[in-house]
Amino acid sequence: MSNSAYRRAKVVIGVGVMSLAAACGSVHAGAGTQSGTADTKAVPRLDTIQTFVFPLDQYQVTRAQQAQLTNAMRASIGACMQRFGFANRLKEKVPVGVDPFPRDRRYLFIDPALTAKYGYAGAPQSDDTDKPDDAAKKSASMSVDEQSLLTGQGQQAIRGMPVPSEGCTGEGRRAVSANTSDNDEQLVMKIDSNAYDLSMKAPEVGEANKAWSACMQRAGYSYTNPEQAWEDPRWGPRRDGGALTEEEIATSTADMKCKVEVNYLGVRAQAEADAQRQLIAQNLPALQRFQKNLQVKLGNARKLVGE
Amino acid sequence: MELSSRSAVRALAAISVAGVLSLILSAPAQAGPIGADGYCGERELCLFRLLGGGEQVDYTYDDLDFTNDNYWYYTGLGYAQSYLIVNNTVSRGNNQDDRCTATLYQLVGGGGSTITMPPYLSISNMGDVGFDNKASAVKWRCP
Repeated sequence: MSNSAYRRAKVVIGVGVMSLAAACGSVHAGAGTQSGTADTKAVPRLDTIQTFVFPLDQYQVTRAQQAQLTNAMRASIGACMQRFGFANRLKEKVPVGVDPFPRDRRYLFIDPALTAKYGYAGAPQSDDTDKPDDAAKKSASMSVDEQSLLTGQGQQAIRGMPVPSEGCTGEGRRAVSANTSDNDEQLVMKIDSNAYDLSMKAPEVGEANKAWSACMQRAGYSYTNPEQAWEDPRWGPRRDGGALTEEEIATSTADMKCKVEVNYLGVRAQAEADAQRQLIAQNLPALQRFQKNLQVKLGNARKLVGE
Repeated sequence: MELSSRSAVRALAAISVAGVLSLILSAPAQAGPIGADGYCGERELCLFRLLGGGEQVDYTYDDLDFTNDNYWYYTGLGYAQSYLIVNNTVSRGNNQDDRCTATLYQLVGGGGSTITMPPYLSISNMGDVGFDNKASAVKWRCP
């Protein structure tokens, strides 16, 4: 697809989104969000899913909530270590985190303007929240006794006191989860993964893959589905720190333009939203308990950090 | 003649056994991940091939391509790198970092479905979260 054709496609997307907004009110212009509509026939035109609202989002633990739970774990573990006479290394509170990559990568999409510069790597990620270089020093500063106490592995009594089950980490988990009805920490994760897999089997996704493959064929590339292009071993050397090739730039840019042309993001997002709705309906009582348990955990967390 | 023939067979058998053992016990030179030593310590994501026991690998940093990473196994004296590749074979994992979140990606390069592992999260069976034998990349975020 030429650049002008791509610009036209972007305009069509814009018009499509505005039409949807007018037709069903599923686009919130002010917030810039769009949600999966319950009408499975209405496929939104999307050039990003960054602000697309999936049905399961309402059940996901937010970044802020996760920071609260992590800080509660740190507080509990730090107190446990102190009880045994070791230093509390976890006094500092962890701030709210950010996503490692744009959400569009779920459907193997990167803005074509970025692939034209960086290939399938996309834009360089900010290093400010990457792992610090001293992480490799890992356990160097922690004694064997401290490690045993932290994990519960090794000797089961330290300094004359019994080590808690699964160490101070286990004690922390139990403190955060106290008075919850289920061990359902991974429920939403499971539904999320299963909905993704279920959506891949939707006929619309199969058709979108075929349309994308035909578009790529016209551009001179032979791939049956986007996964094959994304994981092409030819890009391996660049992933290992080698140079970005013109071949990768050309392939990845054609790939993304074809995804725009066939509305790949719209089809995939709608199919996954449909699958999520189906699985939410099947798991509604468990999800409701999950939400209640999360509130209990957040209450425990507030107490553990002394708020 | 017969004796020498038997000796030759024995020699060939010995070479074959040694070759197979070498394949099993040794890994390609410079196999990833960077900084791994087989020990699962604090500040690392530890991934395991099997639900109980078996090989493991420790990730300290981002690694967007598990196809050139190898597991480690315990020799009785310490850890040695196995010939077994990590990509699409992970069955369980622990995030042993106290502040960083590890995100596992289904596809090499960081794409497809994901599993987010906040600090201290332990997943004893990736099948329970629909991610058995799927992990192909990891990206850390340390707020």
